[in-house]
Amino acid sequence: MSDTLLNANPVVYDVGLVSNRARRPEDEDENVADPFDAEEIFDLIRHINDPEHPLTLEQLNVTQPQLVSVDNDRNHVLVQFTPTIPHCSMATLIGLCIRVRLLRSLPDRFKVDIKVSDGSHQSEHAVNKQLNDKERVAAALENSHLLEVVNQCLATAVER
Amino acid sequence: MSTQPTLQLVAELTGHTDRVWAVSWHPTLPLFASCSGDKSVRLWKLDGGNGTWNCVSVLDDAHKRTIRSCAFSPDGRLLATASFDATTIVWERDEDSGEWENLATLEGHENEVKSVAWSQSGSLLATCSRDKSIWIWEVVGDSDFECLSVLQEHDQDVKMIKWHPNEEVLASASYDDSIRIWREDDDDWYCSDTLKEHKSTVWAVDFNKAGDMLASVSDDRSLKIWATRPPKNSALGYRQNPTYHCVATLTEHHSRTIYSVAWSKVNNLIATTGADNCVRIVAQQAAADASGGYTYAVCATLTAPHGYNDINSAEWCPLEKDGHGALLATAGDDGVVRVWRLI
Repeated sequence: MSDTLLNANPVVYDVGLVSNRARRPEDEDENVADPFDAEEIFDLIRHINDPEHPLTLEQLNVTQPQLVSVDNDRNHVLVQFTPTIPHCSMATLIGLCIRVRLLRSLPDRFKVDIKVSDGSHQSEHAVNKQLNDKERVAAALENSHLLEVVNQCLATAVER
Repeated sequence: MSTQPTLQLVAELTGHTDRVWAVSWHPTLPLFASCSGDKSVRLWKLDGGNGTWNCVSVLDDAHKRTIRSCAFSPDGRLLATASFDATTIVWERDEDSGEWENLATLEGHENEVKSVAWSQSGSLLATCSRDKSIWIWEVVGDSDFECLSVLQEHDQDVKMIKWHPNEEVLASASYDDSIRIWREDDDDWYCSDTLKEHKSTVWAVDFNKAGDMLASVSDDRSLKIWATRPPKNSALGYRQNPTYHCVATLTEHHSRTIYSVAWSKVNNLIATTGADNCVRIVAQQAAADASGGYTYAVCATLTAPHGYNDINSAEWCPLEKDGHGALLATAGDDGVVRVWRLI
């Protein structure tokens, strides 16, 4: 990581610490199938630490609940995220952190697509292509240095 | 009345402890290799006595990272394995002990080797990598491999390579969305054809038995069939080769990325697998008509044969005898290898 921050002075958003998702009676009922909703997915990724700042992806507005969508019937999750600046070289690392977090947390049945939100990055196509190529992801996760960086970013997400 | 074929489960083979990336059949025996993210290769053999498939060898002491691809030489004596550790290892079976031993380690790629393939004569080996290059190796003597050429025309990772079944012609599939055809002329390897019709990463290609047709699959979720046309100016004589043209496209053939395609040299059926957990079998519906048109259609589908997991590879058994040509081996993210029989 370079000594000069890519975005030295990011806008920080005020966020709550606890889930915004209200508990529902069916959450406690063992006999009811419990589909995932977007808020639950968001709760898994909102506290991931930014690779550059001691702030969470939610505090930097990189992740937002409305950019998460879940299709339980088709076992599909789409997470979009918005890098703080359009030339952010950390975009693939942030996307990889989100992917690893969901890989470790969601049931096997889900297929996950991770993308930068429309128009939010100058290399949008290249970033999206890399984040969704399983061979590239598998090779990246065999890189012990990179995995360590990912795990550091995820530490704050797992604690909560 | 003809009925649609179905795939019947013959064997469910466990042992790998991580996703299985690829399988490769032995050219003359009812035996195949599987390679995995667990850094090992397992060899599975049919026990002719009771009809069961058993693991007869585990090759796990050589590669330091994922083994992405494996391939038996055409005489079945050697096995090549390609790894994310940037090396390709050629293994030889010791006739006395029956053990597979490391014959040669091929180094040169800068990073992950993604695919390895032997030419039909067994005298050439090709490897490709994330470093965007393809290396052509010549087998020299019993155990030496000499790099003949490094082909660097792809703009991105080269995902997979496949040799023509009868000629020294190589096809490569790339992350740059293209397929390239490579030929040799007076020791000089050159790109004779670039096929740019897929809209995203081309994950795999395979030739038909005659080699005059090619099937390709992509992240764009389509299967494309290509056929050769004779060169336009054959009178010129210099590097005039047949070119491949797309003659059929099955769009949305799978609902997510398609990872593998295998064109049977025995029954002419095409098997495809992908991230939608499915295996599909495609048959040519009619011979080429006067306009050069072809029709291809799905004749069988396995929905989730590896559960909720991606299927990374399917390969047809190349043996014609004893009905073995109806066997298909599949490898999935569940770490399991399954053998199916088309009936």
